[in-house]
Amino acid sequence: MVFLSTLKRRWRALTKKDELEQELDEELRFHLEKDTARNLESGMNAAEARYAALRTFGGFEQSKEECRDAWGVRFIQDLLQDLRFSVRMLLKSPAFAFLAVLTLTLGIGANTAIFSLLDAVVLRSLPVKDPQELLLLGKADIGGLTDSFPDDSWDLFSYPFYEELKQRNEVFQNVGGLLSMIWNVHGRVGAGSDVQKIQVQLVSGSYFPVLGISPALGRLLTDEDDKTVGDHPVAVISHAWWQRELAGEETAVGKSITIEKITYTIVGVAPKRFAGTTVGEAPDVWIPLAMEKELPPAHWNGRNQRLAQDLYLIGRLKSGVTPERAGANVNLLFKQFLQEEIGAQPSAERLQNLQKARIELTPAGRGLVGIRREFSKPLQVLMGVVGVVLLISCANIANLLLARATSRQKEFGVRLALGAGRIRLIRQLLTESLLIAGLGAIGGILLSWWGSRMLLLMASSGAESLPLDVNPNGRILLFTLGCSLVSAIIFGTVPALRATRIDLNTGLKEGKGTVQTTSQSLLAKSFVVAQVALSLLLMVAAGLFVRTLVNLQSIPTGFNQQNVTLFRIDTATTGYKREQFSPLMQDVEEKVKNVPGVQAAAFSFLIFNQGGWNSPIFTRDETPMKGDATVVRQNTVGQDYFTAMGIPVVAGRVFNRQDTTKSQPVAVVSETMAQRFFPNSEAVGRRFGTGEKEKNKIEIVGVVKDVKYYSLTENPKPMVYYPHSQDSGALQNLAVRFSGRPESVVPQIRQVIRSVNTNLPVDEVVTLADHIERSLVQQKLVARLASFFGLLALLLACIGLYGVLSYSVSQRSGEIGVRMALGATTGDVLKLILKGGMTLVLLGVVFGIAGSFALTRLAKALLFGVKPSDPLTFAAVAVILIVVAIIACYIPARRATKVDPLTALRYE
Amino acid sequence: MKKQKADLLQGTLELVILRMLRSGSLNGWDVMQRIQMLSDEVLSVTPGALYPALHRLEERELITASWGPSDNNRRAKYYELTVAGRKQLEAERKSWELFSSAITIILRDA
Repeated sequence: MVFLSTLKRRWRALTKKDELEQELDEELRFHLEKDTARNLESGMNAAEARYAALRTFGGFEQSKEECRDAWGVRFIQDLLQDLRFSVRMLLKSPAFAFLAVLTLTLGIGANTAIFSLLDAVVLRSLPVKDPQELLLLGKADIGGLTDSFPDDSWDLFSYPFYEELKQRNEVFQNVGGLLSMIWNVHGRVGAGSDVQKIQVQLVSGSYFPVLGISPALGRLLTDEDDKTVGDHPVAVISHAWWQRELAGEETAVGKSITIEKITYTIVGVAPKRFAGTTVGEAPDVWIPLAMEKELPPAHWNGRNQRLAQDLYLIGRLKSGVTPERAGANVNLLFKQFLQEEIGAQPSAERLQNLQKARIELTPAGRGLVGIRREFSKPLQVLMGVVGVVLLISCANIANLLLARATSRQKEFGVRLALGAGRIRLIRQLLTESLLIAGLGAIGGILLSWWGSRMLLLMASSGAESLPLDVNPNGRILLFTLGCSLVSAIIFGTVPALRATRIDLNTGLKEGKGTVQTTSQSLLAKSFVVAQVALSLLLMVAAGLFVRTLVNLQSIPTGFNQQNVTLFRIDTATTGYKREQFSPLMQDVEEKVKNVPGVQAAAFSFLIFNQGGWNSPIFTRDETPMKGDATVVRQNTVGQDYFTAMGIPVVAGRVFNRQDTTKSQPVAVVSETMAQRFFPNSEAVGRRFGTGEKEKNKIEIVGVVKDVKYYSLTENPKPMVYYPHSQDSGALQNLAVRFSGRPESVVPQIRQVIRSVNTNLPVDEVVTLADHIERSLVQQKLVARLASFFGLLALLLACIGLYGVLSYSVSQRSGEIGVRMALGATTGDVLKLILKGGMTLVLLGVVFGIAGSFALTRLAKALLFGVKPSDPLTFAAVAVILIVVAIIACYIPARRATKVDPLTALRYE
Repeated sequence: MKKQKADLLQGTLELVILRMLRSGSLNGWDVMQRIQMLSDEVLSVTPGALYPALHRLEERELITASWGPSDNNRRAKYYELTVAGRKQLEAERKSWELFSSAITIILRDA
């Protein structure tokens, strides 16, 4: 109650200020009148009585002021007054206001944009119930399907293990599973519409219950949907997909999606903010794992195989159970599960594996790692970069404020002389800074709204931007607010303290207050030194990242990248049987090759940076290789693949029309494979097999040069190619080598593909060079942003330098006039000013180099082929900075030489 | 006999005001007269100090104010104790007695 009445009174004090003032006046006047009346009674005349009453009152106006203070809203009233005044002051100097707000908008905008991404990738919790209770088995560092026996910390699990864990564990409320890969398939929505790309995430029935989320519409999947294999063709769709494809209609539930021959019924829509559990992946559709065999492209069928490991598992801890206890329980069950697998008399190798097999439990509340692995570190480095940009912006604004403070010295002098407290003046100045910061924050949020979307596009390795939610949320807005507050304190405090420390005598006099300005410009100079040092740091970082990118781009891939274009075709959409695919693909290859200008066309299972297929091979050597050494990289390709990709043949032949399902199985191997497996003889003609019992099966017919497989930085590893004409499923990459203008050739190729089969959707057309560039998306992002911010920093530092020198030239015009009158030449004056400016720059460069030495090593993990302390980069950046700085100094220095001694002296 | 006058410390002034209001509502002028009268004209308080003190007490919810008629045909602002104010007066009175008796003892011994 008391609180309420206080609130009511304060509200009244703020809104009905006049009324309150009037009451106060009335109250005090009443007192005066009573006193006057008493004085009259004691025999004074009217004037005397009134005067005596006023005298004994003890400061009528002062007393009123103290009463106002007592009201407790003084602070707010002052603030409002300060704000009004600040707005007026800023409007009076629009150029200053514009420059300051713009600088800050850039700084805060950049910070907010990078932070939005950092938030989405690294910081944000999944929008699920109690995310901190979720634990992931393993780290989800690898995805795919493996039948290896676990022999280390394990990430992938089989369906039988999932079932056993779910039933027998004592530590989780529930366990959910999801396939470790997302399938890109093509399907029809409703009846008869065109096929379209759909991203499918297969999940166990318990997946949604474990997360504890509720549907936006209909229902989510349950254990019931995942019971019988192939029995429940149902789907839950994502909120975004619902809006995009079904216009967000309520009737979506009950509609169908047809993928190949199976029609799935939509049973519900996932909640709006939920976009899956893996960072940077946003499935369109969730389908029960029981349907995995029906789903292209893989049609996996490992549900009952104990070692067909392809799932990520997530558990929700029971209350009161520690992650350690959960880990112990899970590992115990895992060992028992594997023990059963190896039987009563295991081999020594198996026993050893079992010893080492373990599961590390990791927190899953912030989602599965996904793109966080790749982007976490770069984003942190970029956060540091934009943080420095903001610091430089602040230094710039501080300098502007200092210069402004000097020009407002008289105003402050008058106000101090009229009795304003220094604290009150400082508060006024800080309010001005806060206003600038506030405007900068608003600008920053708008800029980041656009900027973070830009970043998502830049960070994406495909044509579409990364599916991350970078809309401002509470945390992001809080961050922006913090940024602007800290900025205001950094750039506002020192100038405010400095500006109000005025000696009233000099402050009010007309002159330039020499003592004052020297100390002020000393401060301004140190700001410039700091700016130069910080921008050098950013430019060094940019230099290192650009060199890294150049180094990576100049790595030979083994392909001839010129004139090759890749077509992504979802051949599985045809719904063919396995043995029908090769003839279909050969048909496409031949028809495309007949297009004028095309030299070669070939399908391929994998083309660089698309994941991998590793499997052991077995040779007939007396001393066979063991374990990991037998594992080689694999690929299945069309007969013209080596011509299309420009991979040189070293020995033997490549595939041809005679290699069919009826002829001898053949393979082409890489140079490294030939050397590793057949060091003492010709590889061509030798045989190997893919199983222990068929060492004689496949004959090597040719050897080709090594090519890159996963990434540009890898070392050459053994690799084998098989022809798709000798057994293969659907392949999706078509590589075409052609000369001529792509604008005319590509449409012809598309036309030909459609003419072979109308169910061959071409998803994407990209040149091989671009495809290879995409593997560097993270490095490109960092290099581009660092360069942009480095240049921005340089620009800001130069503006700061220019401003300080211009100011000092105008302050020293008298001194320069004297010098010139005494015989100094134009050259002397030029030298004088340049020396003053360049001293600051060189100081900044020294500090900057020292700082860079200390800081660039933080980004070491992001560098390639260049040391963090690369002398060439440091030297080049220092030279560039000094040259640009000389230009920035030269302009004010030139102006100094134009000083007319007579005018300058007369003015003094 | 010449009387000596004592200035009131701020905190003490507030205590005195609360005491004056214990028996009922008063306006500012009355409060001042009472202080001077009851303290036998020893304590002097100026309106310039009194009114801010009244407003501070009001802000702290120890007293409330309302407008009412007065003897000179004008309305005056009357103050009265709140429940919190009454408690505060009691508490401060006790601690003042403790304090002043302690000082008295010390001064007597000196």
